Amino acid sequence: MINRRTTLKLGAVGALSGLVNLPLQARAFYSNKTSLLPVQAVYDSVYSESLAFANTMQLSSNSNISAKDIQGDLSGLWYGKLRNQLISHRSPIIGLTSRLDLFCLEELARDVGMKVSLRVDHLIDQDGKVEHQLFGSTLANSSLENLGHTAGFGSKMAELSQLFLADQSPDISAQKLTGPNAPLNKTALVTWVIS
Amino acid sequence: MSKLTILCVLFFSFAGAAQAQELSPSEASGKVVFDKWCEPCHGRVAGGVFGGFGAHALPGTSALMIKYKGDLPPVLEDRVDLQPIYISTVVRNGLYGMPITRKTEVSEADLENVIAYLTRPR
Amino acid sequence: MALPPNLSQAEFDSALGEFEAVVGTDWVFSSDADVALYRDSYSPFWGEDEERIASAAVAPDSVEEVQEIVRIANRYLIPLYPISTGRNLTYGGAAPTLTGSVVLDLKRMNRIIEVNDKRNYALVEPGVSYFDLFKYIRENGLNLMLDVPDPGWGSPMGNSLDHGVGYTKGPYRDHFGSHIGLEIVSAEGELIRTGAGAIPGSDAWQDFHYGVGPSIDGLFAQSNFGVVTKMGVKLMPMPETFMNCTVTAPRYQDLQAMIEEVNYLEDSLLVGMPFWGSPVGGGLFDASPITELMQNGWPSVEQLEEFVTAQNKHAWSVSFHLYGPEEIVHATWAAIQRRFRDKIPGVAFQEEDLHNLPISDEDIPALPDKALLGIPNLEIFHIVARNPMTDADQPDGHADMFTMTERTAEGLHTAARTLAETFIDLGFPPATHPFTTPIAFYSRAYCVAILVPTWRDPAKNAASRALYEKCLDNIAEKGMGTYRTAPAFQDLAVSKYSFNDGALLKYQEKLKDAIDPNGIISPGRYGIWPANMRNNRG
Repeated sequence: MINRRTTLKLGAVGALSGLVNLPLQARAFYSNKTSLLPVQAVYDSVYSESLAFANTMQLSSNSNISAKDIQGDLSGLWYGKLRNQLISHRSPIIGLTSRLDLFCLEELARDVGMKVSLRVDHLIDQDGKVEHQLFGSTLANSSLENLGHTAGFGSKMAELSQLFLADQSPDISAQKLTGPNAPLNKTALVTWVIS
Repeated sequence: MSKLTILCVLFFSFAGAAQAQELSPSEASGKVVFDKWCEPCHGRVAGGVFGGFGAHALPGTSALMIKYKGDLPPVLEDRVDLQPIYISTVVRNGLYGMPITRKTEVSEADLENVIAYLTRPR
Repeated sequence: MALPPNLSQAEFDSALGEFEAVVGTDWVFSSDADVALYRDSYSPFWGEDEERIASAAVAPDSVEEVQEIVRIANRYLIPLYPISTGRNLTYGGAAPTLTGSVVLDLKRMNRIIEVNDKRNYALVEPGVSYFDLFKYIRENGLNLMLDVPDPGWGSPMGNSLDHGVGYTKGPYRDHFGSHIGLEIVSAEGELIRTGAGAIPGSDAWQDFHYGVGPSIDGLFAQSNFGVVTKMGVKLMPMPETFMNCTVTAPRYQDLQAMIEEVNYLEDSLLVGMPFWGSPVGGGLFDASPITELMQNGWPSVEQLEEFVTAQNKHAWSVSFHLYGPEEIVHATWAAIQRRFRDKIPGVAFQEEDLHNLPISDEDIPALPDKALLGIPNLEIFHIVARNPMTDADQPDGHADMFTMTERTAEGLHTAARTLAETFIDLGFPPATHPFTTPIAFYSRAYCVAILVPTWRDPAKNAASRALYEKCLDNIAEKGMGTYRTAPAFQDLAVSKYSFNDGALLKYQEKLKDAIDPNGIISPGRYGIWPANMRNNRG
């Protein structure tokens, strides 16, 4: 069970559950339990959207979900079990974290021959309005249209997780979006798949 | 273009170049620490007994050439996207052949300065 | 977090407070994050209960502070583990031998007290690195050449005290053998100087090694009888020139004759470090190209000669740097060629360009063999850095074992074969083969090297440890041992030196009980446990 912690609020925390707002293909994907992939999820309970992401993952019908909390210290998670697990299995992982944590995870994943294959940057302005930018996926952007532009996207991203995990696009545009190519908002959150 | 204009253009371009290369005190301190502690593995030039792979590269640079496979520069000083948390994580935890670095070797202040140097805007 | 053995948290907190009063709060490290910096990055027990973990670390800045810390440790019965620069990778690094020890981090004691290029020595503190000393010599225009180990960021003192080795001429490659004069803080906090340094007011501390009576210097290397706070280091005057030369011999069975000739040259102090190789067998750490030949067991001499003939290359090579004035270098090389020609039919020779010394700053970076010229560097890390062969499953470190043999072909082949068969028996590809060549770190013995990978993964480490321990067992059955090892293997390595029912270790234990009655200095280092911990022996 995931424990709630004191979280960094980025706008009001929306409540969302169920599949009603998912695009058609994601809904179908979720309904077919025999096609559910084992999911290793990474989140950071410091961020409310990330916590909501993890909670929704845990509440889903997929019993193969294992969620790991960064708890503000990625090194503990990575140097703990995550790295050895990836070396053994090299199965994709999905997360909703800060961009800085993704930077570290992307570097560390390269050490075990894995790369960021998909990302959705959630750029949040001072008024709490959220813009979502998708990279490295052949999914129709319509899958993101339902995310809206307010808080509450974390749990929606969890509902899209199986769709994202199944999308193994070779498009490298998802990689290394910090530095001169980075979206300007350095405090953005990001949903990502490493595979 | 008149000679005066050419001279002005040259002067300002050189001035701009000097400004781009000028380091703040923290960055300059970081460069000193980098040269002592990091450059012998992560620098550019080599030719050691065991050489490198491909071009003559120092061990850290050589390892990063294999890791990045052309996606990113293997020389740390050529990276423009490094993040402070990543640098401090690797320095204090080690990574593969690179061992842990203690505070009696690279103090927290030294580490901040190295980070300032490597993450300075360019 | 670990506590010192038999100490409560309250007692330990009290001791930490006393340490802080000596060195200042900035230099006592007791938080989990700070103590984690004293883990052994290459530990063969990473993350397991047997990983040796410190309870804290203390970093003094002076001999007086060291003395006071030792006295405090005696009062509280806290084991201390002195480190110099703490970069003894593959041999334990900065981590203690006993979990719960307080690491005595001497890195802050990094003064170069004196460097003299007329009598050719340096006097240094523990925290001075080879890089520091090299820079000092260059910046002050001193006419001296260091003998450095790989890698070069370690300490001349620390490396010597672990019997470390280098790459230039014989007397200098043995780093403990080329020390001259020690200052020690005893286990009870007393200050001792050895050699001529024991005469008050002596100016010959770094000139006259023995003093009078028994020399105790050897007690402080690979041991736990005190804390060394100063060491004199003999240095070689910077040679005028150097030239790298190579001799090759055609047949597999030429090796013994080659060895005898090289022994003559080495023991006559005519050459720098012999670098052995095999044009047929590949390089020092290459995967063996003769694996196919070994599929049916160790090949016969006849098979090996046929293999050499089929490869159309010479079987063996030996290179060395010749150092000295140009006339002497050329004359030495001429004599070497004459002597080899007289002894071994078909030998071939190759010489590279003569170079003037010292090498300029501009030319150093591209120099291929920096250590042979006493230039510290980290290029040895190529052997553990990610490469195309390891990329799929990159190890986190390695544990080294050097089997020590006599300087004969038979000794070399026995060691290589024993190690190869051990690797194969445990399911590993062999790291040695019939064309394995020795490393002549010590001028009077051979090292046959293996590197066993270490991981941050218990299952993989278990396999590596099993391999390492079996190698130690099997070479001991052939009357061979190792010269240096990590704390994880020290008890086992020491147990092989068991002549007369372990008389040597028993003698060392008697000394330990007398010199360090509370058993506070590095308990267990190289198998020497204090009386109240002898059941700890692994």
